[in-house]
Amino acid sequence: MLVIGGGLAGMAAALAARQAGATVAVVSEGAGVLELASGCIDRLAVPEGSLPPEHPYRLIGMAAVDEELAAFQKAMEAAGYPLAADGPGAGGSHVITALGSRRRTHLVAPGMAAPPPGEPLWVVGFRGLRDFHPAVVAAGLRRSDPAADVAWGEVELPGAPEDVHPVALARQLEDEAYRRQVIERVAAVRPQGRGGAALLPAVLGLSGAAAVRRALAEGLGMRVVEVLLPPPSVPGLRLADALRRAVQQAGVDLAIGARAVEARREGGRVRHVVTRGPGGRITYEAEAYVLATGGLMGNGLTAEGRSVREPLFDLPVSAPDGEWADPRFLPAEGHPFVRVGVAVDGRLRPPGYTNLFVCGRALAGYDPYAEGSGGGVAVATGGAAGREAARLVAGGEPR
Amino acid sequence: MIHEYDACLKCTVCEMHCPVLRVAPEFPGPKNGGPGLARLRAAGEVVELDHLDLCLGCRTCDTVCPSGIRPAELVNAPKVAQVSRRGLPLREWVLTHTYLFGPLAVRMPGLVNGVLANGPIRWTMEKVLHIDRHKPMPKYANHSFREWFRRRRSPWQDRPAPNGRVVYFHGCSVQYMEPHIGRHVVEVLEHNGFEVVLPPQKCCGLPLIANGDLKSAAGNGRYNVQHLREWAAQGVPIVVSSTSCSLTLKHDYPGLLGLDGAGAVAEQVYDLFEFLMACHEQGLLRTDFRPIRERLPYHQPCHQRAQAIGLPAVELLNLIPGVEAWNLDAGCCGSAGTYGFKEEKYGVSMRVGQAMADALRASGASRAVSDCETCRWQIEYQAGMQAVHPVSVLWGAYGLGDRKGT
Repeated sequence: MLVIGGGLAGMAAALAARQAGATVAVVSEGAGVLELASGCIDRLAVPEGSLPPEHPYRLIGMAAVDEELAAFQKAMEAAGYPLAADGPGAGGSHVITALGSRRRTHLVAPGMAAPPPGEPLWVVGFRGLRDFHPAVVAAGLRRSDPAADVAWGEVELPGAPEDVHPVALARQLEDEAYRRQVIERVAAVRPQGRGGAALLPAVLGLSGAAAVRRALAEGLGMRVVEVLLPPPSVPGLRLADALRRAVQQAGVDLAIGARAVEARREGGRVRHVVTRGPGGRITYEAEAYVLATGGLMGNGLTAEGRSVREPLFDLPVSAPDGEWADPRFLPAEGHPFVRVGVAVDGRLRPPGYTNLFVCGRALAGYDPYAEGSGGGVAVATGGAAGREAARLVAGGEPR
Repeated sequence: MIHEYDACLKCTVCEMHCPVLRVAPEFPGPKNGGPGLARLRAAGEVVELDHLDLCLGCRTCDTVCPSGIRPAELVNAPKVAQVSRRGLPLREWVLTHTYLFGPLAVRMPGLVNGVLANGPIRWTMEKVLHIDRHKPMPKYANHSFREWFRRRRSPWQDRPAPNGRVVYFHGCSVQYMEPHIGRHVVEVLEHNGFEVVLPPQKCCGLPLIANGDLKSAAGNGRYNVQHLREWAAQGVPIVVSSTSCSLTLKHDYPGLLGLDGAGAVAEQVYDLFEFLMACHEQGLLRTDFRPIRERLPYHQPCHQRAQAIGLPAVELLNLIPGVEAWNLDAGCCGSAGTYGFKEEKYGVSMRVGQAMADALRASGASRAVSDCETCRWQIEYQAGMQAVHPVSVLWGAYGLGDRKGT
């Protein structure tokens, strides 16, 4: 089977389909945009009962959503990247942001789980890292909890750089000698006798982040928690790298850098898809196809004025009933145009197709921003689409 | 007018994956140095960014960009403009014209290799030409590939090859430095029932493109297109065993260089393993391999990844009984053709390659596999591990080394 799109949804589809025994290739124009996200997977920040019937979660069912999220977590753990799940009754998993707010999520990246309320916090920043200001973080933490015991400090990095790129710093911190110098500087400004957690910007290493956090925790004698920065996001990059490793280890053929430009349909079946990239035109013939090309931002949907199209298969795209946009800039219930996308059935197939399944941001009927559901919809519908496609390839009965 | 770079959303995904930015924070990066700078230049601003030439030309940014922009070409544009005004500097000329010395060097390889490995001479080259003295120069062979090809006898000389003909584009390193790889390519193709054709060819021009000399690169390109187009018109596949050459023929000839007839040629160009994999899918590839018990880490060349053709070499190596091949996935080797030989870039090159070298050493394997020559040389130098072309493993597994005349 062929997955078109290598973002979170496409990769989740590929993992699930491999697990179900299918032979899988992924083609993608770019490498997805996980690097701009938190590195954690959100599920839903609004009540389940408020979701409309056409919502992707409703289409596949909440039980399937949770199964897919659990399967994804397991696959990532097997690939050496353990995400911690928000267990039932645990009060929710949170991460701390660069504004000092506690942000609810579902699968938490390693090292990012917020300390429980009441724990003494010490925020440390690096001068020159422009998106992290420890005083701002501390003020935000006090705002959400006036009783919080919060202190903050700032250190100069070796060489006193004026401008620090988060990825470059993350990589530098994996170098032991450099890291030792940084730890010494951080330890030097640590208030005497302070316990609890040290909150540092989420730049503590790339693939070797666990070792960087461990060394810092040992050097400071404190728990180390990473705080989410505005994009670009190092935890997002770690997740993207881990996901690519997981997909490759699972034996998925990965071709990033070519855009799917043409599809051939015969009756209800997709016969082939053609990609165009620096390596030339390549025709892929598969038994089943998963469309995971994203929404308006990812070019999975294209817009001209108020006409939105799905450019590869020319699938029907939903339109808002009334106004496209709310006159307010950030309305709590979101802008209607955000819910525009491809309408599908309960097996994620667009009308008239038997071997095409759609997942992720191309889907209609949800608002990742207003609902806090972006990652969850990508993983859950990706996994479900991958499994449906694999079942079709295996010739099994559809559920 | 809307330009390609106008599609840049400043999302920074390219920066997140740029191998240079991670180790050289002074590099402006693909976003600022690519679409950002292009926009300023188009508005008539004269902007020079320091350290922009630290770009490796690995094209990772082109590959990962979610908006379909090719920042690598834009980053290279100021260098192209400068070279077109002032010409190639001496060092860049020397490094990009090794193919001119080749015919002489293969006549006296002992002398040439000795000179290029001589400490005081390398020290002088560093002082005079700013060619770094540390990294060993690739060694010239004692014969050229085409000489070998002319002298040997094809099994399909007297009868038609069952699977027809293929054109082989071998590139400079096979011609003068690693003719044995060319031999392995030819014998593997012939073993699979193809007659191999060898039209005249020059350096693909990628080193010239990377150093900003598009005019000379286009000269080489026109020569190659002229000699390949008749074959392409007949539908004869053109296979390329160096992944940088295949990317150039496929992508830069019709795109960046805009050469006449290059599009039709590009349609027929296949990376060698892409071609072999396609043969396998059609049931044309022989799989009478003898077992090799070996774990083989595959280092994916950036210019192979940029083609978005998957990992056919890993797939095919895993068809050999006993072989466990896997994609190392440890980033760029840092060598980037002529880049790693430049004095001021040697350090960045080694820092970029560190992750790959560490991963290879930790793999426990005794040799690595990669289908780009400069990647292999970097692996041998930095990881201290033998590096072979995947076709050589295939050649061994077919038992072709046992034949007369080895």
